[in-house]
Amino acid sequence: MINTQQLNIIKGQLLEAGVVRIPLQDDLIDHMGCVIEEYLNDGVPFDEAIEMAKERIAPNGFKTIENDLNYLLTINRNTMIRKIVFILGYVSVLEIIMAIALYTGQILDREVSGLIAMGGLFLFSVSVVPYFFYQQYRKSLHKLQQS
Amino acid sequence: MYICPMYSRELLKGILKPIILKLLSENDRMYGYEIAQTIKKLSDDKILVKEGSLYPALHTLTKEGHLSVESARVGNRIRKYYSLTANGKKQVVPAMNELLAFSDTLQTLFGPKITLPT
Repeated sequence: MINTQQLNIIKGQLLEAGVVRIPLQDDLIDHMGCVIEEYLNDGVPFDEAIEMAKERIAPNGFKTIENDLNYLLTINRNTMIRKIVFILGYVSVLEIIMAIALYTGQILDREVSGLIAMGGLFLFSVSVVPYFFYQQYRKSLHKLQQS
Repeated sequence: MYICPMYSRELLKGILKPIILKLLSENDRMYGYEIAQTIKKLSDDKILVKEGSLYPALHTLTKEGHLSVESARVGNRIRKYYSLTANGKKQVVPAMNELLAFSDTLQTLFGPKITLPT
């Protein structure tokens, strides 16, 4: 069984890699512990064993495992949000175009078509615009973390 | 995601969840390392599940309500045991049947030796 000091080294490596989900941290610490113990039983020293375990468990880094997990856990929700935003964006643009077309064709008067166009603009500004800026914020944050 | 000496990653994609459900239906509770080792042993080292696939699958199944998690202290560390929920138990047979039906279809497609007319 690995000792507390060795366990703290494993924990430190996970934190350093940026794994923040506690349930995943617990799983990976235990898994690393089991694999390292396998190597220790074969007579491999701890320093080498931890490197071998890292290579075996997370050749692309521990953070990749967390990223994959986050993706899987949020994919359905993100797809739904995206669908809603795209539909709202379509409806708002359609409203604006219809308002202009109906006013130009003199089917609607200026006040009514203006109200419809305003509705479209309002819908666009509360759905597509915030989503767009949120995505830009996430992209810039991701870039910052990568640098 | 998978390192597999015999089957390609593409072939194995999508069967990890049914494998986990099946294993847990035969064992009361298992922890991650134990699941990976059991799959390796049962498949005669033909399927080596990478942890990068295993834990996302376990956590997703937990979020979907098919698995429950129980933490226990083992020595100086926390070990998380996964077990099937009532909902998860209901998924085992359909998941197995789907895989077996798929296997039969593959057998139909690739089973007989195909000879091209000359």
